Amino acid sequence: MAERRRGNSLGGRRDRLIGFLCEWSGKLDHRLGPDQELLDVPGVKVIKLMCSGMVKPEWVELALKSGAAGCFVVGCPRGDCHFREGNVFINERLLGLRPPKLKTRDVDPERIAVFFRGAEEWPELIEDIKAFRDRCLARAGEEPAPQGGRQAAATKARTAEGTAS
Amino acid sequence: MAWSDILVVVLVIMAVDLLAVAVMRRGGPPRRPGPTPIISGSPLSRWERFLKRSQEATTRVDYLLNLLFGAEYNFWYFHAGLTNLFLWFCIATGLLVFFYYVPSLESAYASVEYLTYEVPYGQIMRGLHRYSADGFAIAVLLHAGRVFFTDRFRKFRSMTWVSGVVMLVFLLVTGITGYLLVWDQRSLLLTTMTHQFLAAIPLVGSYLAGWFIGGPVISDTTLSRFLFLHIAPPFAFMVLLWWHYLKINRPVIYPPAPVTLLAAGLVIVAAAVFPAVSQAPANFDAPATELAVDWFFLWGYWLFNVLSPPTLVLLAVVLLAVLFAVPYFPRSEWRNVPVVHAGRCTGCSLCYVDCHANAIEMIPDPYFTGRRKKLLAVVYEPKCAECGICVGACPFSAIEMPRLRDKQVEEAITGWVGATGAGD
Repeated sequence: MAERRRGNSLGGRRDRLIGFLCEWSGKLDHRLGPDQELLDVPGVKVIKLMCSGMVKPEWVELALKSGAAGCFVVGCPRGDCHFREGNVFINERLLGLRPPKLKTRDVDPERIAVFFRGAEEWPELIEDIKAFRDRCLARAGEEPAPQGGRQAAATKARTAEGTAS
Repeated sequence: MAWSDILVVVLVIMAVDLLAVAVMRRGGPPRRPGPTPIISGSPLSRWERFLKRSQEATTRVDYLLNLLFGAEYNFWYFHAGLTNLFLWFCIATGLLVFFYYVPSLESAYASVEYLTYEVPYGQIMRGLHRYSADGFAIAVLLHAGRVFFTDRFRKFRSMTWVSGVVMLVFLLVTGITGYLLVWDQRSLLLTTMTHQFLAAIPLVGSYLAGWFIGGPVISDTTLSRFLFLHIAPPFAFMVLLWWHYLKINRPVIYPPAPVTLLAAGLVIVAAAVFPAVSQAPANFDAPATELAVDWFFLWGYWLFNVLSPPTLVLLAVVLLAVLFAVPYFPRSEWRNVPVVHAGRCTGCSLCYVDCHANAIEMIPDPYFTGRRKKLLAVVYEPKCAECGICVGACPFSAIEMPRLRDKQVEEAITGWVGATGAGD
């Protein structure tokens, strides 16, 4: 259960973050590398969507369960979603107020953030992401290293071998 | 019509045509999607890139206003609600003004003066009516400008824009006839100019001009006609607003209370500080030759200084045509309308509820063979905004964007984080 609550049952790199970026909010195109990674903040990959309302809570769960240090969503400023309500919807879903809800039992809510930034507010957005990354990494550092997926299976196998011999 | 007028009209039409052709050519043929799967939206034409840039610039203004007012009370975000609010201010104050108005040549001016100087708070009431109308015009300009510069008038919003243009025409008719009802020197001059304008319309002009003043000459019927033209459009707004809201799910109709109070306060202060007054009564023997222009409603009359009435008719037609055509300007053909997997759809209606464009309908599932009835989500393509909010709303992965499937997103996540551990 404790393993589940840490949200890294699949293992993975704990210095990496996933961000979902609405196409109409914080304009980060010119700050992205070839693999859509953020050049200003190491370890952050951005997945661009038409609207932050398209983000499924299960994607956020997947990112954290895969071992990401954190996951964030960037939407338009409150009251001004290009598609009217997308930013409100994703915020409510992640807060568990609107279906489909985020299963907070399985992931650490402290490693999830929603930023509301307009297209021209990208410098402020980068600062937000930096601060969020530092927070997530500090939080991840408090926990034991992830043991999941193939790594965990290999470790378990090695342990079993050692025990047997 | 003078030859110079004809030349001006021909040049204007040629310029509009050349502009349209240039815009269409710049749009170019639809381009193919890039090789990276994590790309959403269609490739942008130049016209769309301009709109995108203007949208980004507008958000900078938003940011500054948010610092002042906070996002919750930023009036810039309630441009549509403010328009509606001022409309109701106009209707409420107009009802009170209407009780004292007498639509006849002899009594119209006197009744307005009686309301202004004899009725308790009459001047304030008249001022409230006048300045809430100005507020209405300002809010409409804000609304239309923001909708345009944030690129929220095209595609699935095109019909909303068209209904807005129709309402803009009705707004101008209401505003102009409001100035005619006072029946002072300005009213007389405006009536003459409007009559000339209508008479210049080909084929039906003389009939329209006669209908406008209620006969061959100005009489008591004229003011009854003006009163009708002033009161009927606000009632028509009730139907037009329904049309305007038809494709919007959960429209924001009113601003929050603090913004409402601020708007009401501004109108009251304007009415108290700048009282609305009439000019000298209309005089057929010595009509006015100069016009005090109210730039919110009477800007078109200033053009009489430089253009003849037939030219103005053509200009109005061209202007209206451009306004109606703006949302249909060319765009890239690459669409990303979500598809529904009928086998996975449980008929829960979450996507239907969350769709802001009313593009999803729930129909009885024709593929379902069980005994109980089951619903199926169907996306109506012309209404679809391609925003993907329905994808986020579906807990069963039954609805997907064809150019950005769930699997692609999941692979991008696990690939980056290295879920298998191989990347460590």
